[in-house]
Amino acid sequence: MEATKELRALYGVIVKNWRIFLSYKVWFISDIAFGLFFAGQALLIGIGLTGERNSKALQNLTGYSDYVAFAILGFMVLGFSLTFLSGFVWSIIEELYAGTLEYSFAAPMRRITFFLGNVLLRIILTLLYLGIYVILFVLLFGLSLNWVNFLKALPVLFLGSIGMVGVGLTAAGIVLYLRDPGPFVNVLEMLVFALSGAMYPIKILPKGLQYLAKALPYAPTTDAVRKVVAFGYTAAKGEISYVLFISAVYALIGYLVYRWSERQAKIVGLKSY
Amino acid sequence: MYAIEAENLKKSYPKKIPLPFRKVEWVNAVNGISFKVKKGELFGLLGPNGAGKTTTIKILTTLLEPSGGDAKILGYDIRRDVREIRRRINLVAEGERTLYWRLSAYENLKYFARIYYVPKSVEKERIEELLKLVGLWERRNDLVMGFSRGMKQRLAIAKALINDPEVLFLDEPTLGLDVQSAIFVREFVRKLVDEHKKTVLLTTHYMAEAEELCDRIAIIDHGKIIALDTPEGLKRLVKDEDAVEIKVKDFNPEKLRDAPFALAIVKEDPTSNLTTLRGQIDEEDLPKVVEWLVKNNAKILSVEEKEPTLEDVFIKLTGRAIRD
Repeated sequence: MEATKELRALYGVIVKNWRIFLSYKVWFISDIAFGLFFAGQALLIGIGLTGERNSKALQNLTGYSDYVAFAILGFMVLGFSLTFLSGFVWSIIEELYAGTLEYSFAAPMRRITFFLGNVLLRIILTLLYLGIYVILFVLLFGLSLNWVNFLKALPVLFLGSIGMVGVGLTAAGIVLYLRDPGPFVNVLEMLVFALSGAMYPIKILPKGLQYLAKALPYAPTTDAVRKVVAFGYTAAKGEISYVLFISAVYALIGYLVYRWSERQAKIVGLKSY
Repeated sequence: MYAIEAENLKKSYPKKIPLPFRKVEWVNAVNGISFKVKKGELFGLLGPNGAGKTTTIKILTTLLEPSGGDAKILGYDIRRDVREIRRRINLVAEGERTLYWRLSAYENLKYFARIYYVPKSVEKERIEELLKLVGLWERRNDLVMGFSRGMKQRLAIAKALINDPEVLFLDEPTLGLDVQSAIFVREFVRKLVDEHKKTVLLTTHYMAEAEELCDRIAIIDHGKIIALDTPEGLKRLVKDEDAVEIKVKDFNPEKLRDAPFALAIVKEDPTSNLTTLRGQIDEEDLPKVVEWLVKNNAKILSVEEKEPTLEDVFIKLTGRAIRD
């Protein structure tokens, strides 16, 4: 019974967000255009610098040479991954700016239901955007991927998502503490992008940043997904094990940090508390 | 069992956000308040802005953790039984930006019905009943952003009833409303207690509202309850003293600090430089008061004897008036 109630609450949050999203229709076009231009430009820069679509340097660093396939796969994993981070933090910020956070937090619904409701709609939209991007990238850049392996890689992506939920919860906990969280979130999103290995292999980063990139779940997930798509599961065993480990660590950190932050917020009187 | 029990409740806030190695000063917002509210009672927390009313409501609705003391809602502990309490209570928070403006009235209530676990079988019926009750059924499909302040407040009250709560918390429910809307809200709140047997705790800094609505009132100032009784009981504190209201022009209110009697400002109009003063002044002392005011450059416009109100109680207890 309890689970049914929580599921109905989750559905309520999703429907509410969907209705609000529909009231900002132009954002739908803007979101798609932004992602497309962003990825398109990065691809063109890469191709422009290497002079060709297949890069020897990339081959040496990563084992595969097609920069377009490399970058688009990375972009898609990153787009999916960032949804968790932005879903968690912006659900607080947007409700805070709208003045509605207090009423949502005063309800008996569990906090994780509130966050997941916000994240799930974003994931559905992201998947829709990614579907549109794939069609456009195939048409514009002649993207060719092993689509069967791509589908096979999805469980790895979902495994990595657990760690990303953990990072999202941690960031949401920090957001509760900040007076003006907007700049923090922007910097964090850019940092995640820079360390995600989406558009370039993390091996080209300075050593310190490479360690940092490996300490977050984004680059390891991207690498594992790429390896599964290119070479299959057996070759990616090591990467998948690491994703499993880091996801478990971040899930725990996220849970503990958010719990602590919310308790602190109730003591200190922050945000809608 | 009481609906609400607060025992030596305390809450302090840091002046700055505490961070490791940052020394911060803490300010007391609620300073050891105790009261009990019976089931089916309309209880008022009356006090000026910053007295600790909203903080008290936030503690009792489990949004804030008290720094000290204990409180129970319907026998449930506010620290331990948070979700049990949340299922049984609801609140109308202060301010108009508490609902989703880009959703319709109906969609707002649907959302809150779901996050308050209202069973699907009664959801539709409950929303319709509430929207009719607050007179918004005809406007159910309109976006909230097009509503007047009064309509938004009526919708906020409907939202607060969505889970059929046993205890309802209303934080300044008529603040900023036009006269008609304020009357509607007051009558509605009274009806909730009389006909629907709800327990209501409301905060207000409007004397007349507290006097008209509440079964009992706790006067709160600087985070402390300074008096608690029925409106009649409170007024008995000033029963034997005449309340005098004096309207003056060109008077510097700063001078009141040195006044040899208790007069408080109840209204100030800086554009016309008019000030309304009020206090308990004996008949024989009145000429002295007038003389003192004239000596301090005040032009006396009127002197009226008034029925003692809660305003006089507050002035007697604090030496100040509650002002908007």
